[in-house]
Amino acid sequence: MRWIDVKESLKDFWFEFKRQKGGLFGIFLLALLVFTALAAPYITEPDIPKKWTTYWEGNPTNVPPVWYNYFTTKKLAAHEVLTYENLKITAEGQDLGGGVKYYAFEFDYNHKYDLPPKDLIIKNIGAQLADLNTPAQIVITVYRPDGNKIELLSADLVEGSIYQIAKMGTVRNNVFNWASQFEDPKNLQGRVETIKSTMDVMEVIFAKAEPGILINPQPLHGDYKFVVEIFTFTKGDKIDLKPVQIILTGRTYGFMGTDYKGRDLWAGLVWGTRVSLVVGVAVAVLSVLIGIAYGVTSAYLGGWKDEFMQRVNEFVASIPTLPILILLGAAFKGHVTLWTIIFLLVMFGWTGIAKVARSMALQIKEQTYVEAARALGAGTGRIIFKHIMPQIMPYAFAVMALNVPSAVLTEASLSFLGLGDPTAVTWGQILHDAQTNSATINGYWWWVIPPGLAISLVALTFVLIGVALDRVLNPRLKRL
Amino acid sequence: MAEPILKVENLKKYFPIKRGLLGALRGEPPRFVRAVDGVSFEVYKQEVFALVGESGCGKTTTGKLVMKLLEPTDGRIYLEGRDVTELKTQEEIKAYRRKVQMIFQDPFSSMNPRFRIYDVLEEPLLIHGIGETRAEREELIHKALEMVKIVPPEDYVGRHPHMLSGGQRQRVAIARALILNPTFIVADEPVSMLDVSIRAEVLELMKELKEKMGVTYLYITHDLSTARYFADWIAVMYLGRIVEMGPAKVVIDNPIHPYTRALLAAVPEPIPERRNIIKELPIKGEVPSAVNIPPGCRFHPRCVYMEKGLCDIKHPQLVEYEHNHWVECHLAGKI
Amino acid sequence: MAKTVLEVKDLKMYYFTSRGVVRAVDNVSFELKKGEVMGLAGESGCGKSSLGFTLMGMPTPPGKIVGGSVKIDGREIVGLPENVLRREIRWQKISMIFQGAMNALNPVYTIGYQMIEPLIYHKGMEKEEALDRAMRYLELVGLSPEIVYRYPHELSGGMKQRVIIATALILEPEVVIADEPTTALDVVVQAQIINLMKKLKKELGLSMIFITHDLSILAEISDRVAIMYAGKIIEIGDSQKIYYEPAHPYTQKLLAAIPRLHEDVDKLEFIPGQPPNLINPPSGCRFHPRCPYAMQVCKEQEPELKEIDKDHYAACWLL
Repeated sequence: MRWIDVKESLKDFWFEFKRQKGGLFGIFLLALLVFTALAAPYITEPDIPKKWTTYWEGNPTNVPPVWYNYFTTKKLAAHEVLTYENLKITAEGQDLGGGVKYYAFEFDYNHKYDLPPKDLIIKNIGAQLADLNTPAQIVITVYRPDGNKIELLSADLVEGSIYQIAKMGTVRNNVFNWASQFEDPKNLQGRVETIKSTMDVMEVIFAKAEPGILINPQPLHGDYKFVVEIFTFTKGDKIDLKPVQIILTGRTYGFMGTDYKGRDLWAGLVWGTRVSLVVGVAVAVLSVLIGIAYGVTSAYLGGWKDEFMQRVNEFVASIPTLPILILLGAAFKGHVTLWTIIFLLVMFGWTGIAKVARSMALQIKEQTYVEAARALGAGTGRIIFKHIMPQIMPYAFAVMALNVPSAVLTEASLSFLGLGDPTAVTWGQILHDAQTNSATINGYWWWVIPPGLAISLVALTFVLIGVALDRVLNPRLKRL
Repeated sequence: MAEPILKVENLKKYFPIKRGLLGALRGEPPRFVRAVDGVSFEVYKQEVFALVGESGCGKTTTGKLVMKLLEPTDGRIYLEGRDVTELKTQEEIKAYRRKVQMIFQDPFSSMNPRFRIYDVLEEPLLIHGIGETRAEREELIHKALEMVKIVPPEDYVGRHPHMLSGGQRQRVAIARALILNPTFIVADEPVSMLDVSIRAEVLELMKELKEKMGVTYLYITHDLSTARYFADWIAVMYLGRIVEMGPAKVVIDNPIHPYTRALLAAVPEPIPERRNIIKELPIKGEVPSAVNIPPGCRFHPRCVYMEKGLCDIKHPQLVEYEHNHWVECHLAGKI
Repeated sequence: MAKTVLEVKDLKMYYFTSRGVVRAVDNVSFELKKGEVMGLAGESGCGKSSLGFTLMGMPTPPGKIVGGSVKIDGREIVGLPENVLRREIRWQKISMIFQGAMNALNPVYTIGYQMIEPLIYHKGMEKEEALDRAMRYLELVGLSPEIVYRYPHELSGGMKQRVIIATALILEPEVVIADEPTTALDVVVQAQIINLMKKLKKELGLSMIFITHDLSILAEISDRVAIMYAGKIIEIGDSQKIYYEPAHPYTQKLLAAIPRLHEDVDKLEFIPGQPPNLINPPSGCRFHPRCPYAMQVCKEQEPELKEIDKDHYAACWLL
């Protein structure tokens, strides 16, 4: 096949293919997917695959996407992370006398949502203590827009201390006590302990100071100022505020929300594109190539060798793929890699195309021009590669495209069942985690629907392309 | 007299019919399609030897045996004096193919529709390693096209077969057969699928090339008129055997075998006065299958002159009826 | 005087393809009388098969009848809606024996089933009656009536072609069009089929248009012959006149190209060049590029069919 021939064939092919609207749309989708897959490190972070198996500190868990606020009546607070630059430092090492040093900083928060952040986490305060027996002290106070102030916390501060307002028992007590002054005593009667333990601390902090604050808190919008004061007592204690991180754990996060490990599902979706495309295309291409080689050889050998090869083909074809893969996956649970999956899927996937390729080769073999080539003295190799293969290859491309969706789905199924590669970021795996963490029951729709849609999208892309290719390239439909 | 270019001795080709498991178990004897059942002839240099007969008579199979596209069940083939019946090695077979080439009946299906004319003609050169550079091969291809009067060759080498007319395609097929400068060409119904007005052109060309290049032809056809025009010798085949053989004009003007006579009577002739007269065809029934060959003279069930007791029991021998005119019939000369 | 069963006037059928308009049938006129066989001859691509299909009212898509008239037994069929054509004209007034029809027999149905289908649907016959008729027609074409129970693969080529002929006649049409009916057959079988057609011509008064490129076969059966070139009839007339006194150079050359069985011909003549492209046919007389006698007027003006002799017309400026 000369380059001019190839170029000409491509030109003819493109002319035909252009008329397939579905195919063009499929190409467009494919371009999108490939772009997403390649640009994954740039759209999200480059180290996602490594991070994926860990908990994502600092992310809210099980929260829906940010844009969800457009669709709900109750606006949910976004996730915010404040660092040293966002803080207003009011005192840094102020000497109060008696060996006491004073540090203070404050930050503002404008609450405009119906539900405040899930949690307020203050961490990474660099505390170098000369004497560990005399830790530093930290006092956190919040000044509300209605003039009230709540002393949330007064506690020890050491290196590595993390303060989680919503989770700390002392804070809970403090908030409850503060709030009870506004609450209707009737609401509290006999239920003090229950209310104290089940209340959402953050909601109360950000609620209107009125009766009902503890049982049905209404949001108080406005500017809140948080003041953090740190006292050190020992000479030589050093407080470094630079690495400070203040996390206002949002009730929403990111483009696609988070899962139970706080993982950004958008990152998961984007990176999952790589796996789907690689697995889908690799399996489709390899199985078709192997299938064609097998089928053409079988047809060309003829006789009992052909019969034998066909029986082998039928045997492999009749093996139920999914159950076997499940068994293998269960047997090697945890040690399965993506390449293993690709290998197995190819092992089971070549049989269909082999049969078709064999029929095609048989027909071509009987053509007069093949006999003429033999009469000229052509050997087997020449006949197969110059006469038979060029007729089969175009059809092979159509089959490759159509095989991708099934490969993608099988891989997703395996991952979903927990038998996939545990280190890879795949959509099936996300769905697996969703299922094991009762995502559907809990209504975490952002965890369940997008991965499923993504799988369908890849399948759709290749089906569109494959059907269009088939219409253009299928020799039976050719009017040469 | 010089050696014949091609000599075929008692050539046989039987195709076995599959019995199926039950048949084999029951011990049924294997059955065969006796496509070629003992054929012998000689072709001398620059002669055109025509094998004439209806479909199923074995002429195409004989051609393929001579081409060695099929292996004979029995008999021998000699090319230029050498026994070529059994060729073992790839080199021997390839060398044979350089000397013996074929022109097929269907000018369309005998060329790969995806090839350009250039590729079609380059293939034999590539297979046999003729012309080391592209330029050399291109020149040979252009020369071949010029020889078959496809000019200018540059205009045609880039086209695909379906862009040419039937006559042009067949001329390309002839060019492909000739490009290796073979000694012998087997032409299997080369003009049957062309219009009558084009046949003349192609046959003329083949005649010319015979003179110019010194090739010898085995011309396989069912059309006696073109055989008369193109061939020097005619052998009439029926059910795998040659029933009459001789110089073309002798066989056509003085047919001895009843089958030859029937064939000649059946040939349509442009004589419109006879259009309402039912043509007399001295032949009965239909061609039987080559599996159940009638006993005795295989033509006897269809022969209007058949003599019971003789023709249905004893197989006739091929005898030289008159000088160089051979007939296989008990009643030769008596009818 | 025998009645005219088919009258064609100025018929035009063009194929509207993406590459241009192919003028396959361009102003064709002729008449066919009852019991007459008219041969239609020409090289491949001259439009003769297209003409056959057009007469059936079914030009192959993308072909369309763009003008002229076709009257079968006095009834105009150009312009008739498809359902009328299907219900009343096709197979009943005019039927066709297609090229390679014997290979178009459905292998999974018996011969009888395929033959009686038109009888049951078009004439509303009962199965018994239809089968009876099928058997009669099989006998008419020289086959044993019990063939109705056989399958196509059990029959030889010649037998299948006889079945096709019987099927074409079964509704007793006025006109039968035979498109290369013997091309795929052996010479003996071909002669037998031609004999059959001669017999049917005599016994049934069969009116037929016999389309072929082989002039020898045409002579065997045609009463009149029309020679087509590039979509036009360039010579038409009584067979004997055409064969022995061909007027048009093309006809002369066609006849000279036939190899003769019992004559010694030094060199067969052939016509140089190829039939023209029907999208852009040559100007003037369409044959002029290949004609050895071409004159200036031939390049400019198209000649009309002129009466040269009694029942002999040709379109050539030489005459």
